[in-house]
Amino acid sequence: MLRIDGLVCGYGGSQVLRGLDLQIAAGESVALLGRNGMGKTTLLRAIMGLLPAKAGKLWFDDRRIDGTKTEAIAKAGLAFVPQGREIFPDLTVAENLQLGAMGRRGLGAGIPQEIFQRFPILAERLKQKGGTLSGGQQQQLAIGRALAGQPKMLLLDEPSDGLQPSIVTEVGRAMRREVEEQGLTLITVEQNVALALAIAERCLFIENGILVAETSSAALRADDSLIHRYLAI
Amino acid sequence: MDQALLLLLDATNYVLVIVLVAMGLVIVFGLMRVINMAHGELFLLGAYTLVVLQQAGLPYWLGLLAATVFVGMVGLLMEELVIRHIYHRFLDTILATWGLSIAIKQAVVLVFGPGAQSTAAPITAQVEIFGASYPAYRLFIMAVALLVVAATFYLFFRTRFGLAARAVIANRSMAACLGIPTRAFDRMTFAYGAALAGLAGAVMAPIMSVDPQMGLGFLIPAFLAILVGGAGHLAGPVLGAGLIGATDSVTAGLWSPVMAQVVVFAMAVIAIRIFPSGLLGRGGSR
Ligand SMILES: Nc1ncnc2c1ncn2[C@@H]1O[C@H](COP(=O)(O)OP(=O)(O)OP(=O)(O)O)[C@@H](O)[C@H]1O
Ligand SMILES: [Mg+2]
Repeated sequence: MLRIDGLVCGYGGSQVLRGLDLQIAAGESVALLGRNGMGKTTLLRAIMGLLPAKAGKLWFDDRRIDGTKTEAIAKAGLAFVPQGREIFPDLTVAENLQLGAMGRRGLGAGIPQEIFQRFPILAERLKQKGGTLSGGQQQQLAIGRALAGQPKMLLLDEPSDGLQPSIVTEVGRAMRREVEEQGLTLITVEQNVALALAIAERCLFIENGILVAETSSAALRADDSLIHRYLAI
Repeated sequence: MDQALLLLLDATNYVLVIVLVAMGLVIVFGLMRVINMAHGELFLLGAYTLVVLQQAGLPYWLGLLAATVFVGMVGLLMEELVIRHIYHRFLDTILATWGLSIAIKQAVVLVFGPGAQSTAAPITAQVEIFGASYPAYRLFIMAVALLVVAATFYLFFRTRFGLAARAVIANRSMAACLGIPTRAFDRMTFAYGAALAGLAGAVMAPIMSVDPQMGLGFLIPAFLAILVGGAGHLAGPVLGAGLIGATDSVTAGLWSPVMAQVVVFAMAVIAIRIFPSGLLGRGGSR
């Protein structure tokens, strides 16, 4: 579903991604792990077309997406929940979700009701401004907004950031169900290994802008040496 | 009593005219952070569109429609050729639109000459209001202004189009990530602001001297209205226009037009001192 060959990407003169290769099959849930500043967010932003690739090729659904506009990439079926969530704080919960729905599916599209089964709290807060929600609710709103467009694939950047443990578990469970029941393809960037293991069946490790190791979640549970090597400080 | 009523009517008329002229400016500044110095010239183009069509023997209403559409298209062109390259470069937008304003004005002088043109109002009747006689066309202008305000608020705050437009303005890259075509919304928002300037020009033309300088007189109160009211919300400038317009016409009526200018500026300065980001400004987007 997603294939990246030799992606080089960075800010100004500095290279962050140095020839990264990645392949993800439809319906797969993958975790991307790595220390701060290794290029995880940069990779997701490059996939969304928010950062131009300096070299390398990207395919989504067998279509080249490097050099494509962000909105076209979103329309093709990729959704993004950025680090820091970036909900629209001055718009209501309903408006945030509405934007997610119609951005990809046209002005006439309504909010899919499944969102409220996944995140019941959103149904209770529809009229409230996004900015007045708690951190955990904002994260659920950001994910709900992305899912409202019924994407084929979702890029989730550090969903556990700043959340209470109980909410982290809840978000993890909701994402797992989205993958299993809806067939969503998912990349989750995480520093919280427990959450990554709960969501993904395959874990990738990134260091200095390239993928350096890969393992199944089951193997990682049994042997955590990779975690010591690529995550511990 | 009659005198007071007429004054009130004149004040209301002036307020609504400023709102009408400022609305396009407000949309472009409040939503897109572009100070469009050429707004007055878009107003001018609206008036001249009416002049041309009336001279060709076409009815006023067609001229009004054509002015709105034509100036909207000029706005589209302006956005595509100039504005889109300089979003977020505040000073550059001022300089570039200032340059455009001069170019448009000179083009009008070249084609029509520096002199005044005249247009005819479609309604010439006087109506009796509370015993006083008042031109019906002025009431029509007020109705158009109210309609423009209502339509604009409806468009931007009650429709899905407006929701998407506000999302693009609030967080451009996130809006793009949701699949919203950001460039299309830039174009449409700017063109809408321009079209309102064209409409205002055509509506005001019959009661003004249509000449290449006509945009100027309204631009200053319109900018003041934005400064005083704040651009954080569309309602800010409407409130600002109310204050400026009311102060101006009441002082002009009771005292003199020159004093009115002085009082308006003094009031604006005081208001800006007390509320630096405008009465309704929240300063959030700064
Ligand atoms: N906008 C930017 N301009 C310049 N450099 C940047 C920018 N954003 C990130 N960087 C740099 O690029 C490198 C990779 O950043 P990136 O955000 O991709 O890391 P990350 O793996 O997501 O880290 P974290 O876990 O802290 O989110 C870092 O060295 C960072 O300082
Ligand atoms: Mg990051």
